[in-house]
Amino acid sequence: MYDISKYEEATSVEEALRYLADDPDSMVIAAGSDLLIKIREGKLASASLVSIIKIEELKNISLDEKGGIHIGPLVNFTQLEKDAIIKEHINYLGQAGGTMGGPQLRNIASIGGNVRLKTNSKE
Amino acid sequence: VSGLNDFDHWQEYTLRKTKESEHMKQINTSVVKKDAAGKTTGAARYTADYPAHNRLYAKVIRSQIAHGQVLSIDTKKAESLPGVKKVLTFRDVPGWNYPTCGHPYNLDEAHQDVADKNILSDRVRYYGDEIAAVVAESPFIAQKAARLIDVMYEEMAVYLGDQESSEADAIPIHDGGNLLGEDYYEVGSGDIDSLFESASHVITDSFETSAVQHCNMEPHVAFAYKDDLNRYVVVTSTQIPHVCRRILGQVFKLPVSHFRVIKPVVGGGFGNKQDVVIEPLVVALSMALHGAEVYLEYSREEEMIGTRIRHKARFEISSAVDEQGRIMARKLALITNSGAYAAHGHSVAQVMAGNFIETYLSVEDMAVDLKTAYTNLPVAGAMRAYGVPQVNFATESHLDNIARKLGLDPVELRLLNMLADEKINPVTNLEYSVAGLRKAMDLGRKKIAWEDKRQAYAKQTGAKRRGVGMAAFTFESGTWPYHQEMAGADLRMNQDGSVQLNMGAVEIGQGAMTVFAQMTAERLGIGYESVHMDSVTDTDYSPFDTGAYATRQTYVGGQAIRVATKKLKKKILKRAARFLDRKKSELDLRDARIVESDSGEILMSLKELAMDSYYSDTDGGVLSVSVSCGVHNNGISTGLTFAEVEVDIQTGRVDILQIFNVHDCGTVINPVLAEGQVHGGMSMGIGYALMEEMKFDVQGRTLNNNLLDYKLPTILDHPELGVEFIESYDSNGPFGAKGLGEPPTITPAPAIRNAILHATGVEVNQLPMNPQRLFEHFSAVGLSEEV
Repeated sequence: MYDISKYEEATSVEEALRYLADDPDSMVIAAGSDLLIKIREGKLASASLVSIIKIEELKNISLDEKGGIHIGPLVNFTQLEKDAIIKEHINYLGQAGGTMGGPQLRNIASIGGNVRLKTNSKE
Repeated sequence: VSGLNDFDHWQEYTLRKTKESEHMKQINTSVVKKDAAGKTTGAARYTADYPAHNRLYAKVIRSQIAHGQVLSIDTKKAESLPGVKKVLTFRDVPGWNYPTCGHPYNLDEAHQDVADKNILSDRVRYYGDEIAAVVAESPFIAQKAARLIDVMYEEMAVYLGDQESSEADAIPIHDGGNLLGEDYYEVGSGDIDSLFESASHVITDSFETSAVQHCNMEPHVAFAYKDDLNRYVVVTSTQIPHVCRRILGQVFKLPVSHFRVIKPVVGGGFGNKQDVVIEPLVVALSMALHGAEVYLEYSREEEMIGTRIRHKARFEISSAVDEQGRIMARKLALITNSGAYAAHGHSVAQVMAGNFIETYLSVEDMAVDLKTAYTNLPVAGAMRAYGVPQVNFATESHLDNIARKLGLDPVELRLLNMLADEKINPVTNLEYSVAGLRKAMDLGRKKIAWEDKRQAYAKQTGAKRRGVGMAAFTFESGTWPYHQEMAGADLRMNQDGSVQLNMGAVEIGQGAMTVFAQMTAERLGIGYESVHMDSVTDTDYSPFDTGAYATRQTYVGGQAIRVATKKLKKKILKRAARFLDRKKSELDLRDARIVESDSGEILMSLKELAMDSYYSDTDGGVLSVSVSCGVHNNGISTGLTFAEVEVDIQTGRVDILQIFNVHDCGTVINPVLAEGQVHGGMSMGIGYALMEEMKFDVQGRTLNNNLLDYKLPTILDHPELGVEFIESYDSNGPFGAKGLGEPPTITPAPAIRNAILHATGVEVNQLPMNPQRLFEHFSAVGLSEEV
């Protein structure tokens, strides 16, 4: 049972920003592995949500000319663990990602969401 | 049509199995569990699967403080929310208390369970206490409304431990103070004090165990409604349907027959459902809504704090030991933390003390001092093995501490102090023997290569160190003579010659139905598939039995089956004799046929006889019996755990390299079921040893009220679990069987602890032995710096 008052789904970053500007009380949701728990607990009851899960451009991992690695915020832990660029350049990061939670969680939980949220387990 | 194919397939399967098993011995045979297919396919109906009739949904409003008084409650906002049907508060419930514990009723008023609980209360005793409840058209609206209720409190000092709640100026959590029960008694004839004075060694240790939760997969869930005959029907996930019915009578001061309790398929209990937790509230809510169907299902968070937990306990044990290691006298002082309500009261402490005395009954002189205290923790109650995992951790760890100090082998020390012959237990007056346990020790020693490893691991250095350890237990197969023991069995022959078995004993997933069918089939000489039993217990139709707890169902229920099948067989043969015009003494029942006893010649099928009993014009009369028998005996079930561990000194992490249990539970009725029972118990024991612990902040709030933060072992945390059985035969138990339900969970924790002691030389006297605790222990003696 999730008490969600409003739900918008954006397919581009611009669209997401528009939704967020339209409703100042709204929150971003990606896979929801942490957020949905808080809504269920009633801590964020009647939440207004803007989903970014359908924004493809945020799901990439790329290497730039300077050797910098860009990890999109919607990259999940399984993707991080299996990605060729990560494996080649910073394999330990992918391996660390592979220790998070269980397989189901790693298949959905996003890097961006986890950077932003402070969880009990401090992961 | 695929459905029909399934049906044909099933028929064929059933026929094949019937043919096979009709020629098979039914006991000590791993027939397929009756409810296995239904649970695997989803066909089994749990409480939540029952169809709804104009159902309304409830949500409990719980206190946000651990100790205090509600000053005001504002329900207006909630009541005006569309879809809300009722808000019930502490003002609306009867003004008297009731007991919640699933014990048989004690006719002696002085020994009745403590009645200290009301349905809803303004006097708040733990963080999560029930103040009010909302009923709404949907669970969603009920939850929303619950958040709209404002409560103001007067806060009181919070007592998390028995030390705090027992201080002289502590506020009484209940009228009558915070000491819920106390006892002191001695066994033996000698003067304990002088034995201690003259002993070569006096060894004293203190131990502390943690609060853990059952984590039953299916939470507490129930619904209640008034039926067309004006009675209240409660469908609930419980271990104690008949006791629940009686307690509802006490809650509402109405005749017991005013209530009907139905127990569907249950998804785990482990003692947590041996209390009446949510049934009084759903009935009260239904009553407040003129008998409407009201449904209440706890969330995992509520299940973890608002039901029952395992008692935290503290122990001090002293042993007076001679030069050879013989224990001359022992003293045990223990105190258990009952939390906010009595539930099982002082009984868990009493079982701890009784178990302490029983296991090493060769020690002539013993003294026990036991107390139970109220605190502001969640309510402690029954949990698998009922206090024995706690006291066994203390006693078995203490023995290894003695062995280490005296330079003795821990197994030899136990054998030296364990009874060699039979003896009458002076407390229970039951005949008592540990012959099976002695055999288990020998088997365990060989299996783990005990002597070699004790030597090989004696002096280790380095970051990773190995050790072997063991622990032994004794446990009873039921509650006699502490409580009344009774079981009921109804048997009726169907028209096809199969039988319908109706037990008062309760199937909660442990396999009661399966072993009862095996026993009935064996006694009657019919196939296992020809015994039909429903997993539903219905107090209107099921014979009386106090329920699934105390490792009693196979042992006690099996004795009712012994009586019922004997009577039914007599009736069958009497009728067959009449039908065949033969003497009853010449006939027998074998492979579902009436045969001539001596020659084995087949005379008629059971089906033919059954049809005649149903439809004979002149001699009709269905073959059926109904028995209810008191059981006045008990079987001592014994066993042990051996474990080999590798301890990482730097991180405090423990890897279990191997672990196995050896049990003497008499005749094993169904080996696969028995092995499963042991696996589950060992898993709980491993969690108790290394991971599980409910944590509370200073305000009494549970910090890990969910299965993310509460570390229940997952499949990845389990080593291979070994199981062995010792052959033995109990003279009272059905087919020689004794109880096995709870015992497997007792000894893994002390065995692992003793293996850690062997590996590191460090005595860890506290549970759980998680990396943090071990690291602290290792650092305290400078072990961490060594490596």
